[in-house]
Amino acid sequence: MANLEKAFEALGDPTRLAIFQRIATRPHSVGEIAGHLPVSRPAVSQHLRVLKDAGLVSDVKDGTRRVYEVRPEGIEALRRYFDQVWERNLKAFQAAADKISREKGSSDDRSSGNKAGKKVH
Amino acid sequence: MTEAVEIKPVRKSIEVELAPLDAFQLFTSDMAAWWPATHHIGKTPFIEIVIEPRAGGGWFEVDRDGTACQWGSILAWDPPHKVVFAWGLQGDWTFSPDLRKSSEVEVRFTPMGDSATLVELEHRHLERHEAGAKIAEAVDQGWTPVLAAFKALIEKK
Repeated sequence: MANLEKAFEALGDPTRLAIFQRIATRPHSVGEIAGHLPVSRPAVSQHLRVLKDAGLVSDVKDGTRRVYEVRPEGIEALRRYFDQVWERNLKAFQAAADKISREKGSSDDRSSGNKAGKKVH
Repeated sequence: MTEAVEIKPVRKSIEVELAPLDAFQLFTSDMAAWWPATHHIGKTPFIEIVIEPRAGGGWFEVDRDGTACQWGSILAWDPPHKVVFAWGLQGDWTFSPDLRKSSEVEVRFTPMGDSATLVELEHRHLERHEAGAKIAEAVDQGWTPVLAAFKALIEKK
């Protein structure tokens, strides 16, 4: 969740989006990005730090320079977020359903008292 | 808008010990009874989650301070079998009524014997959301090893 918001925020800035798109085509160094965009090297470094914090890019050392590449896991952030939301929410739904089912069961006791075959798992 | 890169749907399923109609009703007409209270977009906690029971109906929370915040709408209404929601909340938690920017949540209720129901949920078209589209667009700039890695990752799940 925190990561996803960070990712949204990070890509909300047009310069950062441009940097991210450039990196998505192939890994780039800070110098290469600064050479292609009207942005100073320190500013590029700053933007890269934000993208990295958001989990969208990672950096690897390539000899003396640092190269940035897109993290596939970052791209998955949106899906991961909803995966967690529904995991939790459906469990909550199941708990509420079980509660109703138990209440029903105890009020039905008089009539049948038979709950066989109801068990799931 | 390009949808060249699709984000694989989120799929979940659970079984509950209720008949399909009871499960359907709990899911739709009494959502506030089970939806985690931490998940709201209004400034104050919700007191009610309203689902208007028809295709084209609204899906919104009503907060303690009286405001209503829309989450989405109903795309298909077929009790006790199926309901499909449009999820219109964007990355910044604002609502967009634009269905081209909304993902879809389909919930199916299938009877399992006399009094149990299989509830299957699919949240699809996540790439329609702005952030998803941005990411998809960015990756779509060229067929790169990154895209291949991305595809491998989503296909693995």
